[in-house]
Amino acid sequence: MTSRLTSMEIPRLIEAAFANLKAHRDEINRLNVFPVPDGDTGTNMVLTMQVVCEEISKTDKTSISALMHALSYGSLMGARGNSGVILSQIIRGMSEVLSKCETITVSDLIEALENSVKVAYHAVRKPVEGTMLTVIKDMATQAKALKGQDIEIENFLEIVFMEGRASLERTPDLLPVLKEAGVVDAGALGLVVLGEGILAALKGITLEEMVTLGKAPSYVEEEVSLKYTYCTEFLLKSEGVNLTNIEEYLEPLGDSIMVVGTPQLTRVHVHTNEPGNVLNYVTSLGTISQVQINNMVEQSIERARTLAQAAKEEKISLVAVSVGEGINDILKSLGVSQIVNGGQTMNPSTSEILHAVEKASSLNVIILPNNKNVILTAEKAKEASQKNIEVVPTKSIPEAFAALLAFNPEKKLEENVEEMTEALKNVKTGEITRAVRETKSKIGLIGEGDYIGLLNHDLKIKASNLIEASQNLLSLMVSKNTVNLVTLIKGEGVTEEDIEKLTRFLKENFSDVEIEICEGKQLFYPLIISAE
Amino acid sequence: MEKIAIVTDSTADLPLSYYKENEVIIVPLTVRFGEEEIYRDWTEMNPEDFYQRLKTSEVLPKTSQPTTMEFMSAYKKLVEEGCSQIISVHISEKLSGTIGSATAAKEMIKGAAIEIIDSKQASAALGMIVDALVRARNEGKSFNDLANLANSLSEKVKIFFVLDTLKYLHLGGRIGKAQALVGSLLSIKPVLTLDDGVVAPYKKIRGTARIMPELISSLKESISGEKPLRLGVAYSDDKKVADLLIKEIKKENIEHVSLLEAQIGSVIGTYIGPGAVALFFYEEG
Repeated sequence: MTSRLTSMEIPRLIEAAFANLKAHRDEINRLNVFPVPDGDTGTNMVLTMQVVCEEISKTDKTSISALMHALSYGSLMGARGNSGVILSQIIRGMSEVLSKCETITVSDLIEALENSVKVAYHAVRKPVEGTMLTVIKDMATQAKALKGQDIEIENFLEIVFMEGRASLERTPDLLPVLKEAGVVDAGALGLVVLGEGILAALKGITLEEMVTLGKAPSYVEEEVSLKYTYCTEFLLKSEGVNLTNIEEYLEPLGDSIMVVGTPQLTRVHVHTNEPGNVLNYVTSLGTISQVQINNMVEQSIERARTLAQAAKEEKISLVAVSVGEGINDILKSLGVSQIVNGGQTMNPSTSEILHAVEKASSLNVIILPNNKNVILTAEKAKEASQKNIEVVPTKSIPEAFAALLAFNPEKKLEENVEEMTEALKNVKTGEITRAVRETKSKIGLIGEGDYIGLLNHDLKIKASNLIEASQNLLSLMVSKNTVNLVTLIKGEGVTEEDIEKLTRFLKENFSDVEIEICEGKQLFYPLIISAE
Repeated sequence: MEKIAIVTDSTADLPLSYYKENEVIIVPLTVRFGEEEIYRDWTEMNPEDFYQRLKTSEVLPKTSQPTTMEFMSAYKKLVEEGCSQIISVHISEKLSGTIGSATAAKEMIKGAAIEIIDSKQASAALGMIVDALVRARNEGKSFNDLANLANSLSEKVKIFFVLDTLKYLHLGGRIGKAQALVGSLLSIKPVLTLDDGVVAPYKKIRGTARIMPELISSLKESISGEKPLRLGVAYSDDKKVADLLIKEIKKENIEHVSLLEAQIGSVIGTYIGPGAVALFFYEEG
């Protein structure tokens, strides 16, 4: 038990903090989504602390003031990344106070924490809550609440760092980008593990033996334990209790149990369904303060509701009718969330489209029918649904691609519909298929099994083989100067060799045109061609 | 009259000679390949070598903002030289922590008023703001005038850029609002922009033939055409693309009072890769 820290102990504590940080480096890197999601917060903090340790090793271990100077100077020299910079300011704030001490007491630490909050907030242009700034602030507040208590340093730090952990777990509530990603703040975790490293060294235990509140630091909405409803926390003052006895009492009542501090001043945290029983029990042992009971189920439902509502109101979902597996994938890669199976031979019903619309997560929905005969069905679905629905009258897959490129999720529904509809003008659709029976047509008699080519759904070409039909259709579609990109969407009944021949044909006759080939896997249409 | 110092960082992508000739202080960011090879942007790594290295490197480079210490030494030196007013204008805070280092350094400097400005830009679009500050300083404008100018240009300057691939932006964690374009099964060449300092798609196009016309039309629809226009063009490794864009600008008779051509350095290059081209501009007044 320690009531004072001497200068000789400080290097060992800093080393332990550094070791614990290094052990968590990869984990911290993975959590890094704010302010820039480049996955290097852990590395940056380690690099910062490495210079600190180098400075400490060069310094006179008998002088706290020299050590504090080394700490502050080293962190400043080494500061890498946003987290490193803020860490260096937190360290500077603590050093300013502690460098004046001959030995370090709890009341010195309280003052040091307070000063580091001041310095760190001041050094950041726009302090953002839900980061290491919040965690150091919450720890300082907790520290201040312990002012005047007769308490050993390790017990003091245990309570303070426990609040640090709790504060860390609250970071997603304060910073939406964390919540979206389902993580706690990376820099904040770094700060907490630094502290826990110091604590482990003070208590003379290994890092593995450290009990921490959040075993898994990454926060995932779905995983909020709903087994127990109430998060119950308080500070217990008494003549003297046995911490282990309290733990054993709480064990059958809940989980996430933490009982830390001293026999006289104990901090307790538990997730339980019986907060009343917990409080009854502990009030028989002493007096309690800082009582917090939060309904986690309600919080979690509320959070989910707020998130879902916001998403629904703002966003636009895209629903498209598709005709092939490969096309489904392309449409999805362009932002379509719901696919309705359909096509020339099996047009979807109003209820099938309606079903997809209802399944879409947003209140605003744009439907791409991708077939002339489905446009009306889509309009019916629009009338039948409670959602805000718009139909962009795409008659083909190439038109769907053009419309999707014009889609901008940042813009309003009406604007999008206008721009997507406008984009349809710039694309020509070609389709190659086979006649299912003998027919008389405006281009003459077509025999069963003949290949026919349609330009914008208008019958233009007949030929006895696929290559001839395709080449003739391509020649019709690709006039020089106006077309610079041809996309060949491969369906059932076309071979690699066919595609090679057509590519060569295009290159020889239309050398300026770019060609893209994609797998559509549609039935009945060996080729769908887009020219723009 | 009191001399005002202008400080920027290496992502302004101006040639080193510019800083000397115009008395602008540059604080370099760093680029590193793996853990061992670390270079300062521009001062130790020129763009040609960088793109060569990038194309052959098995690891993607990483970048780091300047340390607080580096900003402190830069500011301190200026104070020692008798400078009491410093304008420090930097890469968008949403793209880099550079501003964080500068702000922390400012807190520890006594003897000078330091104004730190988030340009909300990157690369030579930031360079363009630096150049405007140099001109204003030469005209004898005050410290406050300069700060106001920098702040107003941070809102005014527009940038459009097209990348050969979104890979670098994506893997480097700077993809921003263009995230949805990653993984598209059609080859899309988006025209990107910076929206309040964050990468965002402006238009999505297909086919390289559309790039130049779309850049030009993006420019045209963003200007009034009634005020003096300052233009800039930047490229990563292929000067021909930039020259082609300049040719198009001339062909379209877009009147302008200046046209800056710049090569993009290693730090910004880490996120845009080879084959990138950018067009940036603002109207005066």
